[in-house]
Amino acid sequence: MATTPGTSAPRDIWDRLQAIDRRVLYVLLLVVIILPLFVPIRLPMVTMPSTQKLYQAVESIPEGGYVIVSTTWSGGTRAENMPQTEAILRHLMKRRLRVAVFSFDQQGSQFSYNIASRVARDFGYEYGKDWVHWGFRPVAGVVMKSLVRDIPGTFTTDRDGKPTKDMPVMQGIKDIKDVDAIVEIAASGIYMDWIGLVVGANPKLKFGFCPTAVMAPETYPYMDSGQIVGIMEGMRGAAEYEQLVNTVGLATKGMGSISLAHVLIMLLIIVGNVGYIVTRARRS
Amino acid sequence: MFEPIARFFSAKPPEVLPYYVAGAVLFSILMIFVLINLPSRARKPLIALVTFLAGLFYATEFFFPIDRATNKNFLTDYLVPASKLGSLLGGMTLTLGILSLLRVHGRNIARLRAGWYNSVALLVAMVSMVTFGLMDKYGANDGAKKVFNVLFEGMLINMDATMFSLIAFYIVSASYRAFRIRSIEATILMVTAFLVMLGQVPVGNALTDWLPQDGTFASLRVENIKQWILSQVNAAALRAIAFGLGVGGLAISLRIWLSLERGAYFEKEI
Repeated sequence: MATTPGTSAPRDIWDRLQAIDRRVLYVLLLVVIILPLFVPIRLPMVTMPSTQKLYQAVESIPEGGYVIVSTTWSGGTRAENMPQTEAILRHLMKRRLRVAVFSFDQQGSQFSYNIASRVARDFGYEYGKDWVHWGFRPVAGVVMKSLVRDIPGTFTTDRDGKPTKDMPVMQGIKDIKDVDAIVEIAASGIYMDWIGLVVGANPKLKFGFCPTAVMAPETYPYMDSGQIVGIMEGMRGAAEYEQLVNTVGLATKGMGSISLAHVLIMLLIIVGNVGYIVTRARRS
Repeated sequence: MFEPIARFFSAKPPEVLPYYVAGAVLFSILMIFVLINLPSRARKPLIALVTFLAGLFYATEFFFPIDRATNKNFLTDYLVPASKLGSLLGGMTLTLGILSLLRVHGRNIARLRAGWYNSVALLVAMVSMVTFGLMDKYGANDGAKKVFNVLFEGMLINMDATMFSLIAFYIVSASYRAFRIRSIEATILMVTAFLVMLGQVPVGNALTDWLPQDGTFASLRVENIKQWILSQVNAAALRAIAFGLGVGGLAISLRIWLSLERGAYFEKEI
């Protein structure tokens, strides 16, 4: 008979509830993530104020306005950051805004180029005229300091090494005062650099942030203060944004998996605690 | 005063550019040689001086009043060259990293240390990525492009995603094993975590979907409770932490700028 480690007492059901084999947990998680992708679960979804604010901020930019989209993420957070990138680009291009995309991450640069190219095709956006990709830019701090004063000087070439100064999309853009909004999609705390180095340089600039869900809570004070106009929180935020721009993307499809995974975690915590409470009550 | 420097760093016509590049490379090699052979006691003051001047540049540019007509001060025009210099330094640190990897793992392979085959895999992967990346960027070879796509988009990105996805499995296992309500604080933490988690997913919204969207009872909807926790309780705590971090960061920045910092990286013999 199985015994509790370190004791000779036989293990009962309450002990077992506290020590489910981790392989069982892994299989359960795998099932609840994969299953909803094949059997979609439709659940009501309320748009959070943080997502709504970001949407409204983009809506308030006049047609032809200039938006910089920075994509500081890599394959590790693709599940969250990819739908965020696609959702925000869809909205920007739907609104016929001029878009400049770049990344402080090499993988993010490749991802964002692929996504932007696809969305641009859907909206008839012409490269160089309506949008541009500045490519991968290392050393975020110095790039930010530089773009505040001189955008064409900071991004002299696009991702393919072509000069940007003659591109129609760059016309009339000198410094940060000519930019209407910056949207950062990131898996890191880079929003602090944007706020510290760039946002204050143009009081009219709208700064939106799309972090992974785990990072979202730390950004709330900055939304309260108005330094961040809105937040798209992880995959949930992306799903809400997809709803707002009337599209069904990866985030909406993934909400079933996310929901069930959350429920599984909560159930397991409850099960473990029930076992713990009963065992403790018996001992006392 | 800075005009000759600005002229020197301005864009050069293509016919003279190769000479400038060659000159810069030679100068860099010479500087590295001089720095390597500098006596140990001279290195620290030199590092302190360069650190101070670099910090002084950005601090002066930030705090010095601007001319309202041009929206600039006398240092503003040098921000872009300084940022380019920063990018170059970033590139040089990358070179240092590569050299260090080659040295450490080359030694592992040469001495057939335990796990030497992992070092082989690392070096082969690194060299392949660099080689095919350069061929893709500067060559007109379709084969190289395909190989690079397989390496970068087919392998690197997916391996990165796989590694990160594993966290989900560990989180499930760890939260199940470690989250026990042993005290009042732990109970409050768990209830809060549950409310935020439920508010984060549509299934949580579904639980209280029967409550009205507006009015007093709307506050009891799980997504509104989550929003209240995040924007009120959480934000207040984070503000306090951020304030402390800010003050600490300022103090540390000053200590580093003035080379007053002591400890692991600052007192080592160089």
